[in-house]
Amino acid sequence: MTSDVAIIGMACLFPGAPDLESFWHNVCAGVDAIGDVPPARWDPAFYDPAATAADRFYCRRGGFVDELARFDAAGHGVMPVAARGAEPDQLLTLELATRALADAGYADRPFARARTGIVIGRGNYAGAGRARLEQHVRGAEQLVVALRGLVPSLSEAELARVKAELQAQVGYVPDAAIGLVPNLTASRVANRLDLQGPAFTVDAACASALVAVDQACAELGAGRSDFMLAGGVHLCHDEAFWSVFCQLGALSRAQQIRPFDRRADGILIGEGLGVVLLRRRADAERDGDRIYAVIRGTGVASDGRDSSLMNPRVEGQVLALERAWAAAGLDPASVGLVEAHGTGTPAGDAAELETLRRVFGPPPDRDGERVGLGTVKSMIGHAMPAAGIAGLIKAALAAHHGVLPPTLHCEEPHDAVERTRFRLIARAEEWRQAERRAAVNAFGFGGINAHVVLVGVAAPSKPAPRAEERIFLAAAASPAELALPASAPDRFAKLGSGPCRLAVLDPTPARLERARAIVAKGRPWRGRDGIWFSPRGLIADGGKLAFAFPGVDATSVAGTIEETGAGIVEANRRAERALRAAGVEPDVLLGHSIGEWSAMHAAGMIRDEVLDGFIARARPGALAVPGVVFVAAGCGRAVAEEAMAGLPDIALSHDNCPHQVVLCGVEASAEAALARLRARGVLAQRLPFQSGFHTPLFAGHVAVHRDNFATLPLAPARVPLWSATTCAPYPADLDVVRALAVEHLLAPVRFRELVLALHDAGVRVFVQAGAGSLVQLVEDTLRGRPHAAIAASEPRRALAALWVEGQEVDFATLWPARAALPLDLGVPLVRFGSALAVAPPAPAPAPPGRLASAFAGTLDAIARAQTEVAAALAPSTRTSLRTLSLATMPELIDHTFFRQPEGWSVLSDRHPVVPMTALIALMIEEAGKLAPGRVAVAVEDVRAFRWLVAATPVAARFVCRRDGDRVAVQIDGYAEATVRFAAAYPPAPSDDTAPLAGATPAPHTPEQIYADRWMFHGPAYRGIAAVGPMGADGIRGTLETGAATGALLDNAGQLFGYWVMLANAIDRMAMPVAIARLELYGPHPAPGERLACTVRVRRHDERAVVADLTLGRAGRAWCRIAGWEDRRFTTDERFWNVLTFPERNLLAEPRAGGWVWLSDGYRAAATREQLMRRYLGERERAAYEAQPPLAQRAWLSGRVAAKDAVRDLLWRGGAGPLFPIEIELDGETVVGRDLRVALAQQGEIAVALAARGRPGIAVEEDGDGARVRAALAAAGQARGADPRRLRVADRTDERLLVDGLWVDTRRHGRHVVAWTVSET
Amino acid sequence: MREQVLRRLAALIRDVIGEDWVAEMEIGDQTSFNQDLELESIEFVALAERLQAEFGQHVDFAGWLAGKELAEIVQLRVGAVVDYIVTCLSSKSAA
Repeated sequence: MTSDVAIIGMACLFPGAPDLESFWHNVCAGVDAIGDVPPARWDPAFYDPAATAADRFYCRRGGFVDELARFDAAGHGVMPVAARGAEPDQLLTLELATRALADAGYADRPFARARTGIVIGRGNYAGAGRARLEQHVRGAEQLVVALRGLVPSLSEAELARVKAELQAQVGYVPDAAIGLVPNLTASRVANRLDLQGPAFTVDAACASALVAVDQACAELGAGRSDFMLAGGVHLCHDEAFWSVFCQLGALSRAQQIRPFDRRADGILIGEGLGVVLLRRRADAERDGDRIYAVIRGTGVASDGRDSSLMNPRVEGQVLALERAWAAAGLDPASVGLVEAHGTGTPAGDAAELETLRRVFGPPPDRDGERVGLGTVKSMIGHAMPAAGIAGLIKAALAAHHGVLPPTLHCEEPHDAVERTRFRLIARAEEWRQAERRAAVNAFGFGGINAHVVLVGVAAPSKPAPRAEERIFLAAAASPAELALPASAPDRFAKLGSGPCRLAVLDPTPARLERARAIVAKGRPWRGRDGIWFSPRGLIADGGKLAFAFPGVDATSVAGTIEETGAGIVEANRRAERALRAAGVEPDVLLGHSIGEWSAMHAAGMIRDEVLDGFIARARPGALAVPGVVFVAAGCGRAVAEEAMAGLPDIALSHDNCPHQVVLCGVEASAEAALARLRARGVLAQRLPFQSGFHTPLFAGHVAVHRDNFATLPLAPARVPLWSATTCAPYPADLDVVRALAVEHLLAPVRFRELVLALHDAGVRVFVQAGAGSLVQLVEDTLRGRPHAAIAASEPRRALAALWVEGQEVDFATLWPARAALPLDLGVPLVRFGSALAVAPPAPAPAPPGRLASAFAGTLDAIARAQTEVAAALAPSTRTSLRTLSLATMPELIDHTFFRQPEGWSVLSDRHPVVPMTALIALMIEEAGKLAPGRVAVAVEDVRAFRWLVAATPVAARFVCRRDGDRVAVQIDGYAEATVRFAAAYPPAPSDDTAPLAGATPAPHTPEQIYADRWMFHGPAYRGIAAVGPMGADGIRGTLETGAATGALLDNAGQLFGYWVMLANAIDRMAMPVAIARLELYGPHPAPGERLACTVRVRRHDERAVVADLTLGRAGRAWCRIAGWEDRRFTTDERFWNVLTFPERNLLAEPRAGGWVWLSDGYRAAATREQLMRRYLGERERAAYEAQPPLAQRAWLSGRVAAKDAVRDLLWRGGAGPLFPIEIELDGETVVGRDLRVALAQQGEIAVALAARGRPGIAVEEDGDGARVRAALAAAGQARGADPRRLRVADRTDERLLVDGLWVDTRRHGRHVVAWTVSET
Repeated sequence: MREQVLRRLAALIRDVIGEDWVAEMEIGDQTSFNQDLELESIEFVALAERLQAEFGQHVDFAGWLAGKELAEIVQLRVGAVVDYIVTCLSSKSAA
C-alpha cells in the first residue's frame, strides 16, 4: 500500500445498538444483544427444534435490528411512500453514510464531493423490498394457480379478488421498483449526497465489508479519490436464508453463539450495517480531521483451487494476513488485539486459530503477556457481509480509546487457543500499549479472505443526548438470565427478549445498581424511582388489559361540570389515540362516570362526530341541578350510608374504592352528612359542582338526555365494554344500551365493584386513559391482589410500565419530533381475517360500435342494457385503502391551514389538510368502482367528521356499500356520503340567474382575496376568477376549474366563505362540515373552463351558515348544491388578525411598560386547536399534549403571552415580521436569543414581560394589599427569591422599591399588574 | 413511648403502601410523606383508618389533617404525625 488511510468518521447500526455510541458502549459492557426472531421476520410456524425438513428451522435466535431500523425520509428528500417500498438496506446505507460524514464534521462543511466515492459490501440476498415484489408477482399468481386447480368452482373474478386481496396485504408499492435494484445501495448514496467518485457494491460473502475497505483504500492510495465511504450491510432474515443455514447445519442447535469455546456448535445469524469515512492520512492531518485509527495495510486472498465450500483452508487465510502485514510494513508480533472472524463453528474456529498461530507465532514464554483476541459476533451474531465492518469499527474504537473489549460465552476456551499467543478477554481491560495495533479478520464462503491492520489514534468527546430518550429496557426468560450492564447507553436501548422484563428511565449507574438489586430479589417493582421490573409480566402471564376512562371526579378543577366534562372527554380521546398509536390495544373497556361515554366511543359504539356533537351540546347548565351538591368522603360505602341515614334527598353517587365515595344531595342534607362524617373523623369535603348526576335527584332533568340517547346512532361494541351501573358487560341489544345510558345518569357509579368484577374476569392491568385519579381508585380497591394500575397521562412511564407487564409497545411514538420512518424489514405471511365475500364479476364493457351511424342508436341501447346488467351484478361492497399524502396529492401543499415562514421545513407545522370537496371527489371515484359504466348524478348526506391531515401519509380506508343505484361511502373516521348513480346525466336545469337582494360590488378583487389572506389557499386552489356582486342573501362569482382534486367545488365554498367573512365582524372563520345534497348534470369541467357560481344563504346563525349553490355554464346548471353547511369558529378581531397575518400581529395586548396582557376567553375546542397550532411548533405541541388536559388551557395561554411578549420586544427593537413559531421557549429562556420571559397568570389572564436580564411580573386580583403583593411577587420572580422574605423599601405612587429593584404597578380592570423596570 | 409510636406508625405505613421498596426503606422522623413515600390522597385515608383502628378515637388523624393547608400536607413528615399521636395519647392518659 502506498499510503496510510485514516478513519475519520464512522456510523453503524447493529442489534441492540442504534448508533455508534451505543455500539461502543455495548461492546465494552459486554451486552448480549441476541434475541428471538420477531414474528414479522419469519413466522413462528417455521420454528421446530426437532425439524430436519428444509422448510422448518431448528433455531430461532439471532441478532435483529427491527425496532432500530428508522429512516429520516423527509431529511433525505425521499417521499415516505417511496421509502416504504424501497429496499431497507439502501435507505439505511444512505442514513448511515450521512451520519458517517456528520461524525467526521462534514455534514455542513464543504468537501471534494467530485472526488468522493463509496464501496459497500452487500450480498445478493432478498431484502424485504424484493421479497414483497416476489410475493406480489409470483406468490400471488401461485396462489391463484393453486386455487384454480384445487377449487374449480371459484370463478375467475373471485380468483382475481383473492389475488388483489393478497397483493394489497403484501403491500408492494408499484412506484418502488427503482428502489429494488441492488447496486442502488451504493449509487443512491452517491445520488443523494452528490458524490462523483466510484459507487459500487461488492459481494465477497462474509468478507464483503473488508474487501470494500480494501477497494476504498486502493482508490485513495492510487490518488483517484480524496474521500471514500466504505462499509457493509446485511438486513436479511428471510426464510430462504435461514433454510440454507439450517440445512447446512451451520446454526447453533444450542441457540448460543460461543466463538472459540470448546462447546461451540454453530453460528447465530445477525444483521446490521456500518459505514466508515476514509481519507489519506496526510490529508486528514493537514485538514485537522479527528482520526480514530489509521489503516496501515489490507490483504485479500482466495483459497485457490483447494477451497471447499464448507471447510475453510488455513493457507488462504494465512496469505491474506501476510499480505496485509507486509503492506503495513509492520511485524505481526507487534499486534495488541485481533478482532477475529470467530463464527463459533467448530471447523471455522479451529482453522482460524491455526492461522493465528502460524502468522502471529506460538505462545509467549513464561514472562511474556498473551495478546487480546475477541469477536463482536458473540454479542450481535454473524452479520454476514456486514460482519467485517462491525469488527473494523470495534477494533478502531478499541485502539482509539485504549480498551481491550470483552468477548462473551467463551468460559471454556477451545484447546487450540493455548497453542497461539492469544487469550480471550472476559471483561473490558485497559490497553496499555503506547502504539496500539489491531487487526481484523473476515473470511467468506468459497474461500475469500480479507485482513486489515490498523493503528489507533487517541482523542475527543461527545455531545449529550436528549434526556427523554434515555430509556433502558432489558428482557430475558428469567431473572437469573437478565444480565445488566454496569452502565447504559445515553439513549433508548432495548436488549434481549422474554417475559422477564426490566425498564429503567434515565438509567444512571446508581439507578442501574438499584435495578440490579431489584432483579436479584426477583419480585415485581412498579415504577418507583423510574424502575419497573416483573419476573413474569401480568400480561405475559395471560392477564387482560383494560382501558379505564376517567370522568369528572374529586380531583377535577372547578368550572361548570359541562366544560370540565367536555375537556375530559377530549383528553380521554387523545390518551386513547396515543396508546393505540403505540400499539397498545385493550381487551376490555370501562369508564368512570362520563368516562363511560369515552369508553363507548373507544368501543366503536359511538362515532367521533357523534361524540363531538355530544360535547358540543353539553352547554353550561345542561347537567346542572340547582341546590344539589356533591360531597367527597374518605370512607367506604357502609360508613357513608350511615352518615346519610334518615336524611332526605341524598344518595350515594360514586362508590369509588374502599376509601373514597361521593355523596350527592340537597344542600341541607349534604351539610348534615358532611358534619356527621367529620364528627366520625372522616375526611370529607364539598365538590365545586352543582349537579345531581348519578342519583335519583337527576330524574327531573333526564328527559332531554333520554331523547338524545333515543336518536343516538349506535353500533355494536367492537371491544367488550363493561358498565359501572350494572358491573357487567354492556348488553348486545342497542335499545337496551340506550336505556342503560339513561339509567347511568340516575344510578350510582359502582366503580369499586366493577374493578373487582373485572379482576375476577381476569383483568390484571388497568390503564387510565386520560387524566385523573382512577389509578388510585384501582390500587385502593385491588390492594393485596396482583394488578398494575397505569396512568397514560405520563406517556414515558406508561409505556415502560406496559412493556414490563408483557405488552409490546412502540416507544418511538414518544418522540415524534424525530419523525424517522420505521422500516419494515420483514414480509409477514398474509393471513385473511375473514372469508372473502365473493361476488360475480363485472362483464367487459360493450364492444365499440363498428357499424354505420344508422345502427348507432341500437348499439347505444344494447350498451346501456349491458351496463345495467353489469351494475346489477357488480359486487355490493368494496373496501379499499388509499394513501393520502403530499406524494399522492402534491396539490395539498396549497391547502395548508397555517402559513409559516418562507422555507419552514416542518410540514406538520403547516397542517396540510385534504379539502372536504376533495374527499367528495375521492368518494365519488371509489363509489364508481361499484357502479361500472354508470355516472354519478348526486351525492347526498355528505358529512366531514375530522380533518384529514396529510403531513404524514394517511392510509384512508374507503368502505363502499351498494344498494341499487346508491352507494354509501365512508372514509373511515373522516367523512361519509351516499353517491347516486344512473345510466346517464339528467337534463340540466337552467342556471340560477335571479337577482341578489341589495346587490353591490364586492369590496375585493380575487387577487386581494388571496393576497390579503381572506383565503389561506395556495396557487393550486386559487380558482376564484371574478367576484361580485354580493347581496344580503348571497354572492356571485366566476370560478376557473383547477387541476387539483376537488378544486372547483372548493372554490365555490371559498366564495361562500368569503360572504360569511364579510357578513360578520366576529366569528368570521367558517369551515365546511356537511352538504345535504349535490346534483350533477354533466361530466366534471376540464381544467381552465370557467363557470358561474351563485351562493344563496338560507340560514345564518351564531354557530353555522347554510347556503344553496349553483355552478353553471352556458346558462345551464352543471352542479346544484342544497344545504352546504359551514360551521363558524370563535374569532374576534385580534384572533382573526393573528390567524391571517401571524407574522405582524399579537394576540396579547402590549401595554406601556413593555409587558403584554392576554385575556384568554377562547373556549371552544376548535378555536383552542387553532390557537395551539398557530403558536406552537412541533416540539411545543408535544409538550402541550403532555400537559394534564385540565392544565393545557392555562399552559397555552402562558405560551401565547410569553411569545407575544418576546415578539413585541423584538418589534420595538426594529425586528421584521416574526411568526409565533419562530420564538421557541425553554422554560423562561428564549431559545437562540439572549432573552428571558417572565410570566404570571390569574384565571384567564396571562401577563408576560420579556427582557435581556431577568424580568419579573405578577398579576393579582385587585383588593387590599394587592399592589404590594404583586410588587413583591414580581420582584421575587426577578430575584429568584421567596416573595414572603422581601420587603418594600421605598415607594412613590405606583412605583415600589423592593430588594433594590424598582417595580411599577398598574391597575388593569379588576386586576393589578406589577412588573420590574429594566435597570437602565 | 415516642420510639414505640414511630415503629408502629412505620409498620402501618408499610402496610398501606404494600410494596417491596417500602419494606426495605428506613422510615424515620424526617421521612416525607410526599417526597419519600409518595403517599397518594387515598392512601392517607387508608392510613387514617388504620391509625384509628390502632389508637382509637382519640387519634383523629383525618380531623387533624383536615385542619391543615395543602402546602402543609405536602411538606408533612413522619415525625410530625408521631408527635401528634403522642400528644393525643398523653392527653388521653392525663384525662
